[in-house]
Amino acid sequence: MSDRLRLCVIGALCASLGLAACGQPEQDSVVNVFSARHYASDQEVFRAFTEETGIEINLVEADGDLLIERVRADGERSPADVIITVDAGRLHRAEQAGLFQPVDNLGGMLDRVPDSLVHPDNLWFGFATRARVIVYARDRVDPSEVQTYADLARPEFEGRVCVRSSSNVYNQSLVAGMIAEDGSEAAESFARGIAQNLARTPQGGDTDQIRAVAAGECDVAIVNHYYLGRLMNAEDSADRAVGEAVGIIFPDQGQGGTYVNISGAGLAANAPNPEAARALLAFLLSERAQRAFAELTNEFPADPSVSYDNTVLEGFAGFEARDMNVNALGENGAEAQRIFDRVGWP
Amino acid sequence: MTKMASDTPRVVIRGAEVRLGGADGVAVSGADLSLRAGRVTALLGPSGAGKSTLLRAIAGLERLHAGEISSDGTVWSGPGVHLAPERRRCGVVFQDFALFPHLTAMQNVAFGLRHLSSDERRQRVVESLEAVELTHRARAYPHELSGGEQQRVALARALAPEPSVMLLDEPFSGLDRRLRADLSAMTLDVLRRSGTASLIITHDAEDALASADEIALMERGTIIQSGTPDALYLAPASESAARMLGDAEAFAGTVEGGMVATPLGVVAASQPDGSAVSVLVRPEGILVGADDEGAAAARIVSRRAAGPVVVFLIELAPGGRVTARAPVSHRAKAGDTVSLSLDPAFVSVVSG
Amino acid sequence: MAIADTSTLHRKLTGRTGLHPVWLAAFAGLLCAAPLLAVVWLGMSGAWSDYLIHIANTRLAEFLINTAIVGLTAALLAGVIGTGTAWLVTRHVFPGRNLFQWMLALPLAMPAYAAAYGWYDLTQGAGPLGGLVPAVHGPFGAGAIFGLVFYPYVYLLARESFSAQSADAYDAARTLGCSPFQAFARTALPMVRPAIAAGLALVVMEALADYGTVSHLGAPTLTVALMRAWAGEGSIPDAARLAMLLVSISFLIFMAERALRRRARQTAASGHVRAFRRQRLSPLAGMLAVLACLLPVLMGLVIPAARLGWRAAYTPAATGLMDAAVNSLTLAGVSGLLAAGIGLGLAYAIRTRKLAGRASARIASMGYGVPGAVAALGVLIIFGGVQGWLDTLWRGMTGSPFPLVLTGSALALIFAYQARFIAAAIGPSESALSRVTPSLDAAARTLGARPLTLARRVHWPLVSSGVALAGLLVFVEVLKELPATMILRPFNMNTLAVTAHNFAADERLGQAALPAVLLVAAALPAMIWIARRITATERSRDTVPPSEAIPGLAE
Repeated sequence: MSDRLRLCVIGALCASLGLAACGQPEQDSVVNVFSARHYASDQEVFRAFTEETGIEINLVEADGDLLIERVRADGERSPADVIITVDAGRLHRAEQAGLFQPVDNLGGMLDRVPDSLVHPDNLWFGFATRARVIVYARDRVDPSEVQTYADLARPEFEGRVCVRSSSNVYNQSLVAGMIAEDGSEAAESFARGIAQNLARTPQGGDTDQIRAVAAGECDVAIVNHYYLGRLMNAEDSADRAVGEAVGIIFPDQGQGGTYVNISGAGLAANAPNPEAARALLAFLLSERAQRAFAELTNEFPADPSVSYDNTVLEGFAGFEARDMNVNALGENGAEAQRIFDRVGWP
Repeated sequence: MTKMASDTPRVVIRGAEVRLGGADGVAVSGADLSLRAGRVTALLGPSGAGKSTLLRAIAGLERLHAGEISSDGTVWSGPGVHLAPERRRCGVVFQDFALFPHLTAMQNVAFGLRHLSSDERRQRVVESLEAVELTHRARAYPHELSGGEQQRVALARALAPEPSVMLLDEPFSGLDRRLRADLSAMTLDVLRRSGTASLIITHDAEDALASADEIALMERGTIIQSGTPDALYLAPASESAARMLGDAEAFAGTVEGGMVATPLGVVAASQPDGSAVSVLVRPEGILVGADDEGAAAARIVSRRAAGPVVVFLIELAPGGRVTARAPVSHRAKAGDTVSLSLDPAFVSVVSG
Repeated sequence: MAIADTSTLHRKLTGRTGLHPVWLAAFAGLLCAAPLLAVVWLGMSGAWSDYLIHIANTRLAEFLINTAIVGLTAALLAGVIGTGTAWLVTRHVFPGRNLFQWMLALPLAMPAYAAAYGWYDLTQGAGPLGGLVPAVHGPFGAGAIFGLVFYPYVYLLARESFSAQSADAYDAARTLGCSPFQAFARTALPMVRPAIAAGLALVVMEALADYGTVSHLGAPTLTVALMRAWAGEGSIPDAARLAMLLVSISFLIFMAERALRRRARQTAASGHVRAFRRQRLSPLAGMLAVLACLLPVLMGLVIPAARLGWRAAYTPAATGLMDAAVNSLTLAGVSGLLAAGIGLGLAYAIRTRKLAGRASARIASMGYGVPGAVAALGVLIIFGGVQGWLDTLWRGMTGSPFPLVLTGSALALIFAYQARFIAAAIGPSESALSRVTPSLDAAARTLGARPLTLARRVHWPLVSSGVALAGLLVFVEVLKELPATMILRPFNMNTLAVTAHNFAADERLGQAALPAVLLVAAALPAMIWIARRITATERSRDTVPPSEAIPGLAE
């Protein structure tokens, strides 16, 4: 390396150190949020929070597993105050890694949330929920045939089911819930039935499964409800047509209820700004925030009493949700994945 | 391939003109040349004369803009005709040998033998490498070979497909002198035995005179003279042709009564009376005699022995100096006054 | 000997300190290799679960077969497109040739996952091309996507190699009975083979390390197994072990490429290089050439980007894109410069043939075969360790822990980028440096050039285009990089890639489109600059001056 080059390298290093200095958070009236979500609703909620409290929000968004490793690696020096993820499984793993500390009832706000959405020790709670539902082709399927998840595993549906890859956490949490409720064997026979009934190799996301049903590639699909909500609320008329071509079924009504998962948050164990963090956590459950999740993200508010302006979502609401603590989804996630491997659900 | 030398030319080039991109553009203009089977023709000329371009045109690597190149009655290049290089059966040894760096010596030689069965091919490769005495290096890659070995591989590679014409572009220029002599002898031997018509580009006159059966002199894109080495040496067609093959003294004069006067005496001229001519004399043609023996009196300035010959630098009485060459046994020494005369065999009179 | 001579140079450069630069380079190399070593350490020391046995009994064969199909499909496609287009633009004259010179490199700016989202959206049953063309999915579909977005690696390296070739070998082949095509296949092609192999090694490593594309298209490769171990099973040590398996595969590919390069050394017999004169194509052949150059750009970049853009028309634009663009360019620019420097240093280190130098360069380049998320994890482990050590030290001195400076800073990010992408910088620098022959050093020194003058007036002009290429490759890689950026970046700092990914991962293609297109636009000026630079050196190398007779040069 020539001298000149060496100078360049040193210069570049100094420049990057300079950048690093800019990234340091201020200690007063801020809250540091590590979020695995990236929705317009969250931006709106954070903006509203700063507006109401004057507390600035520092945000890092990353995929859930990496987020957990980052907080773990930073240890007691971690700047994280609030950790937000979109799946109970991730919350469970973060909790197992000791990343959370219990919150009190957040000035009564936590009482608005059903117990099933809150960790038994208040280490985390759900602020919005998503249901794993069945969509079907209106012109080809009689909805009375598909009233339960187990219906999809029946031989009549051979070659008619679309669902995304088992690598996806939504499918893992669904089967994890079944393990908790009905035991491993029942869950495995459901998964095996689905694997045998697949219309095509799993590909794409949930939206792609809905499109495939509308296009006639398959007759039924398992998806999260808000993807259908998003299509039905879309500006693109082609997307709305897709939404209209399919019907939605909340499975297992009267038989334990539809499985739901949560978007959840918790207070970081080493939070440098615990008070500001508690204020933000409470704000996530405020009417203003709850409305934003419902209206902008098509999620069901964790507080059932909140009203919102979203006709499509209102049409979905009022179903019976599975009355089980979502913590079980995390506890059984690994087992669920092994079931997928065994039954050959790719 | 027969090993006979034939009088009908194998390749005939007539009025060849090649234009390359560049300031003046024309690299070869109006070149005429014939190559005969079993004969080695040396193409001699200063750098930039267009030698390599002419060679590339024969090989089909350049297109002709005018003129014609034909072989045994088939037109290779001509108006509206351009036979692809791979169909001409020309073997080419490039100046930097252009060995394929990714192939061994053997694979390089086998490269042009795809049309043969694998047995025949193996045999031909072995023969070709034997001819250049390189069988022991058959499995070496080009970068593992010395310069001389690379040249021999290039030669074997070009000869292996039994080309009807061999074209060699300064094949020894990158090699040292001793190596060059050995290689040159080997190359010529191999070429003659193969019975192809060969063209060797060189800028070394001694080399050309010693090795070639015929010599073509090229200057500024044109062949200015061609013929056997001794004919060209003894009877150059112009002063520059004379100088390309060795030293020469030139005396300007005018023809009067079929004769031209020079400081060394009068010589016969075939040009019409009154025309301006140059009298060209090789140093061997200036005979150094004892004083008062001949016409021109002169003084020896220096005497330098060079192996079998001795070179005299001589100052003429009317002024001017000439160089003369004589056997080393000649007794004259520096300071002697001598008389000079001309040997007509070494004298030629050209227009100019 | 080259080696002796360069080390003399090095001694002269650093003689007073007595520190051989190979040690500096080795240190930089080890630093770059640290995250990978951390992952290896994790794999060796972490708790063993029965997950690997479970995987071996259930899906390992499927993962391995898919990995092979994806890798081979990508290599085949990238090899054919990259080599073919490089041949066309270096040896022929056709309309738009100068434009294609740099446009052909552009698909590199398209993140593979974005291309996959776009193509899948177009060709799935419900898409506008559904039923008309086979849906892009499965291992062959994923391989095709990688081939289309990564072929520029092969193109750039092959292009460089083609234009450095002497025309004599090609002419020799013609006189030995080869048609133009045979001469290409039997001489020009084998001579660029090391360059093609180097490009293909990058393509395959990228393809094997990818997660987003293969999981979206339903082509579970080893990376998917690895992410399932991590995300589903929660066993990071097992994920590290699978990463080691993946790296071993990449390592084998890498060594095979090295062996190939060693066997057929490209040393020309003499310094004489007769440049090619480009062949003017007939109008019909010219149109075909235009088509052949246009298709890869269309399929690798324009079509998927247009599909994303079409979706964008129905969605509100994301905010903060300007800031994200500035961040992307700053990070990529600094990292590219740094990587070019380190890459050149490591290339020199390899040249010295000192074991330490070569070994560190080789280990440093292994980071390329590691999936991005695992590499990011390695960086986290390293930083966690160093931070803990600093804390202990600092506490002993002051009683309080050391401030957290390592993670969440741009420094951390730039370190992670070097660790991940330095391999892309070493290759081009190394091949550029091979142009500096020992006789050049000797010639310059006998002409009175002092060592520094030698470096500036001889080495730099010869290696600069290769070093610039190295910097550019890393620049583009950093523009697209995801997992490390997501997890190591400072608060509130977005990049275009992260923005695009966040939307795409949430199946909001419309909002992903604009940042993805901006990403390509950000890479554009750099691409144009490098293409101009390369063609400039090419022009000065041509022995035949431009004229009307040779339109390829006159352009």
